[in-house]
Amino acid sequence: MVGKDKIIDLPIAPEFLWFILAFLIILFIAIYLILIYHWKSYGLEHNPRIFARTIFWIIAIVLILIMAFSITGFEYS
Amino acid sequence: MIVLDKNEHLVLQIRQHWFIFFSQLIVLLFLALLPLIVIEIIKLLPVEIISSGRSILALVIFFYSAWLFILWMVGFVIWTDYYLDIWFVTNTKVINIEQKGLFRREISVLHLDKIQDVTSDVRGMLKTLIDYGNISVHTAGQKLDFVIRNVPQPDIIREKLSETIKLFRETAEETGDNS
Repeated sequence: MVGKDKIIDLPIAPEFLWFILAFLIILFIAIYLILIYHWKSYGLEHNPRIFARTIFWIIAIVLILIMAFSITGFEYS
Repeated sequence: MIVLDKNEHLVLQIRQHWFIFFSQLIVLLFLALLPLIVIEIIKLLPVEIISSGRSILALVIFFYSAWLFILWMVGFVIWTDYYLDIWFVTNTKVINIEQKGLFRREISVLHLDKIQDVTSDVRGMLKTLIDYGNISVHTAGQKLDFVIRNVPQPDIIREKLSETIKLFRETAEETGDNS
């Protein structure tokens, strides 16, 4: 175990983290719309498209929830 | 999606070898693990990081999730790029669709009567082991050849393409004799 000689303070406001999350959600929606346009227009068949869309959303929602809960945890800690 | 002519049918549909996509996934996986390595290195340093009395663990979880979220989106963009990069061989032409990122798409069409020769090329130990390589379609009177890169089983595809061209020529000759 190394002794901690120096302390670095990162004064991050929870509002800043909410802002990052909002930005990422907007980015996600933009990318999703672009991808869905490509999948529909350029030949991704119906079933793979539904599968890809489902996987894309499920993991994204899980990560968004983790981010939201971690901000809440950070805010009230 | 391609639209075929009345007497046209699809003979081959060729995508790049799965290893090309897999190798990009490996890079993403490494990038996903990178913050964990950085955290372990920081732990070894004689430095304590705090955030004005708030939970640093929650902060770490937030930034790591955000990083994974970005990589997740990048992964899907890579997969789309891979999936939509495709060659179609019909009984009359070869259609090469190249998806380059999200906002660039090139489609080139080559009629089978323009093709002089088809060659396959497998170079390197890895390509030989998992059997993928390039196929070049040489045309008459054109400076640029059609090249499809990193296709699985290039020798078999070359043979099928050559057979299709041969069949096309025979049909064209028969049609020419009848008319």
